Amino acid sequence: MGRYSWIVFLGMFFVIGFSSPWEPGCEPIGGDSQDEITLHFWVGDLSPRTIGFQRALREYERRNPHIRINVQLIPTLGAEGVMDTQKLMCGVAGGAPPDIMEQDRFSIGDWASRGAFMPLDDFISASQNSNAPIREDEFYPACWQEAAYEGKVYAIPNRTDCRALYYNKDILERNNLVDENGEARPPKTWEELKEYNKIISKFKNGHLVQAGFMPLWGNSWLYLFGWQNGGRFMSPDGKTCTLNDPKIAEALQFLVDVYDMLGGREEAHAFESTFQIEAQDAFLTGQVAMRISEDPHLQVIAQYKPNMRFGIAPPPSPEGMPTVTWSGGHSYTIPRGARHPDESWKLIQFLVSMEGTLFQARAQQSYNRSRGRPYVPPIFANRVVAQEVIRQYGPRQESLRTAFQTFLDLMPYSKFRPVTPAGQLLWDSHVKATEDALRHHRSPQEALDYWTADVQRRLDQIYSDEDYPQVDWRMVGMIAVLLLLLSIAALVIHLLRNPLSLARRKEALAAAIFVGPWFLGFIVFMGGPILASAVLSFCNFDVLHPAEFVGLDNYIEMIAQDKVFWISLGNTIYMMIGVPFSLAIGLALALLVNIEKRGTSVFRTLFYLPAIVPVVASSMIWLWILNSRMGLVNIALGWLGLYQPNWLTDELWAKPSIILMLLWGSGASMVIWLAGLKGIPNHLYEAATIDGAGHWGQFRNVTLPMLSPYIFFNLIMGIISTFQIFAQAYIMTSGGPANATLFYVYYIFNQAYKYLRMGYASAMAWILFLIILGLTLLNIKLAPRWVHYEGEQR
Amino acid sequence: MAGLEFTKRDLILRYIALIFGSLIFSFPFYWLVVTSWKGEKELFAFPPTLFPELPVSTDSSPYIHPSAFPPVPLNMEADEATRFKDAVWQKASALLQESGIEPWEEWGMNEPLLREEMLNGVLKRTMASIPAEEWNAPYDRRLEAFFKRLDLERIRNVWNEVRKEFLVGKVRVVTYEGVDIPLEPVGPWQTSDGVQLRSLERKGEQYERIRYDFKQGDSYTCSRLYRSDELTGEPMFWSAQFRYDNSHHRVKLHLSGAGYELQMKRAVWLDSDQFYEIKMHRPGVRGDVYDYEVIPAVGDSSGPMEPGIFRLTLTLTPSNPAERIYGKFSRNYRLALAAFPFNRFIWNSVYLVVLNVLGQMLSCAFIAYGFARLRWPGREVWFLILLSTMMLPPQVTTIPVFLIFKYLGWYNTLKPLWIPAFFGTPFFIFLLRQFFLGIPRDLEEAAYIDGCGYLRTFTTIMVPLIRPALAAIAIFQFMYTWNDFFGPLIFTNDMDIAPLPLGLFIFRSSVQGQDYGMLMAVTTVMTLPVIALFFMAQRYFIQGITLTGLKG
Repeated sequence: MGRYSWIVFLGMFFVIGFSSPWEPGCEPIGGDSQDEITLHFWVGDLSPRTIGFQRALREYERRNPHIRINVQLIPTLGAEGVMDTQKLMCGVAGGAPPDIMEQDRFSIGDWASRGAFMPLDDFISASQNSNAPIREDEFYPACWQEAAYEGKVYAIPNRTDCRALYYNKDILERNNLVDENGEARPPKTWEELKEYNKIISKFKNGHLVQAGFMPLWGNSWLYLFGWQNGGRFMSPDGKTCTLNDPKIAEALQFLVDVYDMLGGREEAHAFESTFQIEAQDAFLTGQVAMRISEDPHLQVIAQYKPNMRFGIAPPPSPEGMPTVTWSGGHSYTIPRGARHPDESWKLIQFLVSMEGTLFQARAQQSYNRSRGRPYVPPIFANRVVAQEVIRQYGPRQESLRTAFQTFLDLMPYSKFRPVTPAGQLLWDSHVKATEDALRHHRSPQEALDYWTADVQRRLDQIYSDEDYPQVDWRMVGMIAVLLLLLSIAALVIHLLRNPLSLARRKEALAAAIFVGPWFLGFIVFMGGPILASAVLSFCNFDVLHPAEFVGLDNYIEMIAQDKVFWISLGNTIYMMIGVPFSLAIGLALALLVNIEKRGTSVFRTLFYLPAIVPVVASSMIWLWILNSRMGLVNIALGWLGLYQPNWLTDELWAKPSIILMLLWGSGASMVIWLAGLKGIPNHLYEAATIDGAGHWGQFRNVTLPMLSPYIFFNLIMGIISTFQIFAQAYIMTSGGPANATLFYVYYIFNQAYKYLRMGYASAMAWILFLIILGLTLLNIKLAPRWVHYEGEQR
Repeated sequence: MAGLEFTKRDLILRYIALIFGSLIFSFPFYWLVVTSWKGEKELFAFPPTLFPELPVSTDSSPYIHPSAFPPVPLNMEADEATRFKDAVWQKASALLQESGIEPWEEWGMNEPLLREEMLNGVLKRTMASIPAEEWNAPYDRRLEAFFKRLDLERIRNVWNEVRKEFLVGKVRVVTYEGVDIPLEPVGPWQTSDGVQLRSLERKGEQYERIRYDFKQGDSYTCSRLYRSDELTGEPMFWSAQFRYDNSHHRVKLHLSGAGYELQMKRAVWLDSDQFYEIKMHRPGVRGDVYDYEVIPAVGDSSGPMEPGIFRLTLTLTPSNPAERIYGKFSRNYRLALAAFPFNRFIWNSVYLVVLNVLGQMLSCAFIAYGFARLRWPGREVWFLILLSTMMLPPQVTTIPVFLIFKYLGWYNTLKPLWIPAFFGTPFFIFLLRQFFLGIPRDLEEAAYIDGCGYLRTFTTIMVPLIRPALAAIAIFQFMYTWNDFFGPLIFTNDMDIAPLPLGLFIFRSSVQGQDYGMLMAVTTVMTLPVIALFFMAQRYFIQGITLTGLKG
């Protein structure tokens, strides 16, 4: 080897690395060749349901040869199927967002308030002279207003939907719920709805087998019922959350009553879990007689049971209240920092234009037809376009046509979710309050009060008048440099006082070269970040705006106000149950394999393997094994005639599922136990045998005390690693159900990359550090009382 | 305990415990691999099968699947059971024939097998609907109860399950205008053995049954002309509908017309008994995002036919038993690879692993030497700082580090995932320092006396001595990088640069990822290298763990 060849070697890697001509995906996002532009388009659904849309993109490419559209599916998380906001937030914050994305309208305000989207007003006014102008007055007002925030438009609505009551005529008629002509008569008021529910719901052996109406099955949330009862969720100025409006509490009480008739929320849940989708949809099979759902459900009926006798009626409302329904839907947005806003806008224009929409409808219809399926178009947000689509592609069948018309007629009565920067939080909180009340954890009013406080706190922060000073990062940087200079100065002074010999000086110089890389890495990836994180923990910082110094607010909020913080901490502490089990299993395995006999090394390997399986892989394996219907565990429990929990989707069982999965990896501690066992001298056992100790006596009096340093080590490591649980929950349950698996680190992650509250997340990370430090110190302090170090006694 | 003599009874008990324990611990692995080998029906079979089914061995189609339904216990005397079965078969076959199916004698089918399978199916499906009290009645009442519930619909369903056949359905062309145009067949199918194809209706659509017998020849072709008068726009892709026959033979499509000649690059395995659609894109045209199986077609344009006329040719190639087994067991793997760019993910992971391992091996030894062997002022303090950073939860620094990478423009590249490796990791530095400390100083001193510089001494004397520790580091880093999910989740955004763990997660969230067979196939691919590496380097691995675990 040449004298410095290794330096050349090292240098080579750096050169390759930094220029990295063959780095995968080295072409930056939006990287374009000279005359071709790539638009990155993020969507949430690429199933055959959106074939029309997909083909429209191809057509657009064909018409505009210099444009390529790279469509990317954004993962929906876990069982809840919510689009993963973390990707967009990271993209925007990291400076590499997509060019266009399809976004659920209700969260537009939430994102716009953080500056994640580009305002589109200039584009809209410029488009008035083009051949595909976008005109506000053509859109359903509910859709347009939902896409606007503080007077600016941030998204162009594409589709909308509308909710109404679907009822099964056969079941109603069988139960004699008919009008004078003997035709099924849908309930008009809440009271009637309750009555119908009572009459239709059937039980067998104490279990629900047919339900009249399950309010939350379908797509009606407390929102709809609250509005129907005249409730408001936000004050008109948007600064006060009125989720705990007594009228909404009344509506929630109504839901509680209906669920109690069905045997309670848990019973209804268990009933729901037997439902299937599509062809075996519970409404189609008659398991549920009435549901409030949106218009796309017509497609399911048309496809799987076209001759079903069903009716559509406005959602029943409380006595004397007007008809109210609810519209939602999607829209196209251009994230801030998009590379090609102009081209993106043109594409949006095409997609929502008459021509583009008709194209999509035709393509989808012909696709559906070619597969023998009917096509029921969605309601497009543009009224003019919607009418034309229905004229050309609307359902021909009488029952579907009248049903569809009912939905259109209801559109003017529809409300939309309040546009607020706390939209996502309001949604999450209203779901939590509903669940709390339905499960009788709290009374409706209490539950609403309890969760409204969270939203209000957030709103207060957003609309706070207080001017927080901006953090001067130059100052922080200067302090850091000063610290560095000081330490260098100390070193220099030290050296001046104790001058080194020539040889030692040479050695120190060499050391500088050797340790230099680490030092550089330390400053950039460790020391600097630690300092920055400490500063950030006292700040409000969302990456998109300058950091504001808020003092101890983050810490106070966390400890005094944030319920979810305590939930996540509680969840994490719950997981500690697994640590002693894991240690015990590890020890048992170690004792078993600790003999010099043939074959034990094979067993050792088998026990150890699960510990090294990638966490993503083991999550996938356990998703399958714990599957509530087809999973091995439940099938085995079924054979034994035992209770089969819905492991990962049951609030009670989700954490035990993850513990079970972690116990599978107990082999990790086995290896360390083994090393400990090997170190126990034989003469101790011999002495114990002479004293008449049996197996248990030997274990109790020799093995355990001798292993105590290892118990100590394993315990600390176990606790620390329990605090770090993240990937399992992220992959398998995405923190659900009902926050049951929202662990501490997961909550940090959510705060940082989902809500972009980097300051708050930093504060949480520091608290985590303090907890771990505290536990470790406590352990070290307590250790001498029970840990036996062999060396000490001599 | 260790070193003591065991009685025989103890030993036996211990081995029983070991075997039982290891079965529990390794069963998830077994289940993982077995699931990845299962076809779509086996996946949801109840009770679940412990072994994947072997492919059926058949040279001809249509054929009767030999174990479509398991035998049904009747709880009767033997002669009564025979009588009962005879009666059921008579009734069922009569019903079936009356309903206008073709006589099965015509296709030279193994009749006893057909009867056996049909009976099992009919008995199983019908008996499920008979309440126990009626079934425990005397013979005549039972028969009556059974016949009351025997209906044609059920028998037809069983008939469709028991008999496997290769069907060709509609051929369509989809234009850029987004319109699906069905092509009109012109004339009958031309087959290589001259036998006419019989048409039949399945799921409300017309299909033609392909009848092949590889005993007569080693491949089978059939072709047909299609026309379309509607087709005016530019075609985007052609597609044809099939029902596969689960025979694990292979079929290739060839399409000519409209100035194109398309030949599929790879054959499609008939590895299912479901309805499928095969799409053929023009060269250079991207497929739909949601293609079940995108198969690029190759070929030149040469169209001797008149415009609007297409010829579709099917070529079936038989598989020998080994090929069938390969086809069956690789099914989920092939499908997953076709559905998602897993080769891309794997390449990204390999790229990261190589750079990370290299980076750590180069930098950590280098740095650790500086800490272990060279004397410099402040060494102890800095070493303490290095150790204490190991205590710090990574969450504390990820946010600023994220911001730094963003500032450097490394967000959404792979750089954040490997460049830090070149600056050393405290844990590895610590490990190597311990190793260096265990090496006697004499060696180095001899080298210095011989006039070696520090660098030279390090490379020529020290590095060879710490090879075992370097191996442990390489293995640890391999595992870490291969398994890392959090890093890619935060620092990358584009599917093209996702390493395998993130890719697997994205796959799992997609529509195709709901298929557990494919999911387990990819999971197997991800797990295997780790297990293989562990087996190869077990010694270094355990050594590394115990070394670091104990000296702390």
